[in-house]
Amino acid sequence: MNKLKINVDRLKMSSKDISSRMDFEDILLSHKIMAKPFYKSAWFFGVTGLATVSLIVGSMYTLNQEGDELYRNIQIVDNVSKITDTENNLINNKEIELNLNETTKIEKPIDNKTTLKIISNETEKIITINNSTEFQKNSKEDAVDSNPISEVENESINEVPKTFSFIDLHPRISGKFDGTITKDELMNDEGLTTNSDVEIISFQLHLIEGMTSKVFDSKGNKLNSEMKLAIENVNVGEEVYFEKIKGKAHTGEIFRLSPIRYVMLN
Amino acid sequence: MQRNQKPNIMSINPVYHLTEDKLKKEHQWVLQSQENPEKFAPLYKKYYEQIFRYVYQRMDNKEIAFDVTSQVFLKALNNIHKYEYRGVPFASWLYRIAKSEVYQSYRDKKAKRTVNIESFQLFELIEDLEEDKTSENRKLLLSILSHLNIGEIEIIELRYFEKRSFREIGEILDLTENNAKVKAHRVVKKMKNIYTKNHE
Repeated sequence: MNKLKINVDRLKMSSKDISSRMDFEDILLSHKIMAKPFYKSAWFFGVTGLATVSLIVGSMYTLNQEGDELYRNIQIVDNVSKITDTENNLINNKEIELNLNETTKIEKPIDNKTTLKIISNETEKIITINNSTEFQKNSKEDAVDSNPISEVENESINEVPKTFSFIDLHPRISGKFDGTITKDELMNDEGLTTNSDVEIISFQLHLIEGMTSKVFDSKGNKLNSEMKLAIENVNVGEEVYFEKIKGKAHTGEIFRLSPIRYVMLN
Repeated sequence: MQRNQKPNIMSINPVYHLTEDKLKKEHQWVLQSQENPEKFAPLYKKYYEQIFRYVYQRMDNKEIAFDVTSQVFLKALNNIHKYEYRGVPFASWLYRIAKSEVYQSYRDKKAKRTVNIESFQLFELIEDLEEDKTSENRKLLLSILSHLNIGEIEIIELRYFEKRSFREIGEILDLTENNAKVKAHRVVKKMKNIYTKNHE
């Protein structure tokens, strides 16, 4: 046990001596220094929490807006076929024959107007279509303005910074360019095609055999008999690759198209 | 051996005992200082001397006692938002902080546990122990006190040298009033036993 020190009749300190050492300002200063930092206060957590939530909500809203924009663009692309029908009707009414080698451009809608730009081999025409309801009600003269491009709404075209152009160059067999395929679909008579005026002039077929692959070359867009024979031996779930696919545009330009891959279904 | 018949009824330190109005006023100061630390000044002024004497009573060095006292008030101010009014003077909370700070200074070897007693207090204690007020008994009491443990000496100091009520002792040592009574009784009994052994 520790022995305590005992003082008997120690000199007493007067209240005055004790009071002289009081220094509340010093205590207050130390308290302010030691006070809880701002980052530990409820205010900080409140403000940062609110800011974080606002940021997340803001980001989500912005992303949704961008998504809507993309969705609208996709809808325009989807409408290409519909507008093509309308266009055909228009053309039939005006007794104009459409060249198959036409590229269609759809301008982004402004003020309820869709600008359809038809670029044929020789001439360029812009058709301005009011919203669909109005278009069906109005006569063809009101609805269709077939003036040359230089005379028609050049300003409004210039005002639109973005134009959407869509040419599908993806090669496909039986309308498929990916995923699963049956042998019948694979070996149909159409061979490799595109949804544009690009003609496939050659390609390679790659079949996996063990650790190696077997390669077949074909000139043209159709599978030759050697290829068909090899495909007959492909098992379910095995993959078939078409590579080095070359296409030729109507302008005579030759370019390489993206490869395609299928998984055999039967 | 001549012995006194019964120990005198102890006088109680009146500083701890406040009227209802004073308690309310003090609580107002606490509430104000919870909002604004500068409003802590009246509490600091009121209790500075009491807390200093409590601290200095338990150590030898005056400067360390002043340091510890400042530390007590700084801790009180830093934690004033945690203070809950329990119908007892604010001082009991300060004493609890002071006790903790004093013990911390012993642990840090800044101060040595010291018991400061007046001669008259020694004789009062001898009386309470129902012993004769002789110089021999005085010597023996000093020896007994120096061999008590820190908890025991704390109870003796609070009860017999500082004349605090058991309720106040309980508040300071974080005990119930009854527990404080029992502990004080045990210490006194232990001291009496030592006296008895010495007389045999």
